[in-house]
Amino acid sequence: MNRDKFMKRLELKLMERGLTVKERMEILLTYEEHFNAGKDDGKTEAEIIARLGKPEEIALEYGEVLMEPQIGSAARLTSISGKIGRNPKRNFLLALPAFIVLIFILLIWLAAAAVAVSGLFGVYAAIAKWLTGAVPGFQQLIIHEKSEILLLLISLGLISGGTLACIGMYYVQRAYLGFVDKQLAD
Amino acid sequence: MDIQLKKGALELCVLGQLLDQDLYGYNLVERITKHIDISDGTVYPILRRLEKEGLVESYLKESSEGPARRYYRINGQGKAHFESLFSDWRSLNHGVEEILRGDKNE
Repeated sequence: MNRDKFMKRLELKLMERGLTVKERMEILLTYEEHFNAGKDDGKTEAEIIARLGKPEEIALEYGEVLMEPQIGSAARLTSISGKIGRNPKRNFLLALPAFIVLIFILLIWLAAAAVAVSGLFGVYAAIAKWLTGAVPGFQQLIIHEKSEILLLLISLGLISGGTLACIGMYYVQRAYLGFVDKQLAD
Repeated sequence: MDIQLKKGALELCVLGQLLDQDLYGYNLVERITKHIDISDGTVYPILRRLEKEGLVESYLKESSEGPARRYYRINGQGKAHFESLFSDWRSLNHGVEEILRGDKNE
């Protein structure tokens, strides 16, 4: 492992520990400086790396030092509300758009879930039609002969699309909450 | 070495090193790992914690060779914390020695 690889690995491990960008930047700078000082001290890159220890170990230590206990979205929202309380005028202006964005995220979430559910129904209808020639519970539904396969394929597409969108929105929401939380903290 | 014991001891050592003079990261790390068997890389997280707890402060200082270096300085709260840690440490040390000496004599 060379200096570059060490730093890349450290960055990755710090990210995995959930440290914020600001914290990671500061930490990485510390180790860049350590490398420079070691070099000035006449040490080789290999010697410095050997003495530094594993990036995993370092990231673990920072994780313990810097991370407040992992908090979920609900707790984040509470913490955001709490921070608004501390400086109502400034923070309300920051928080209002955040809440609107969050409502939008929630709506997209719901839409994606609805798409996935409609796909489930499609699968049911296609299989029922194929097996029994009708869709129990939905007699008035007309599915043309031999179009079951097409319906099945479209439905499976809807399920996977909807599910993927749900998962995507979950990450978007998490990232956005983290971002807002950080903005308010500063 | 037990990890918790080691962490407490390291905190004490880091604070102790800063009592007489401000040190930059690399220098401080060298001073600690010369005597205690830990990786260089794990001293910085301790410094970070002490900084976060408001016991140690850091500042950038120009260096004659190359870019500015981050120096660490202990503050009043840090000094008070050091005194209390050190007194704990001494009494623990003392107690351990008493116990071990007593055991041998029996």
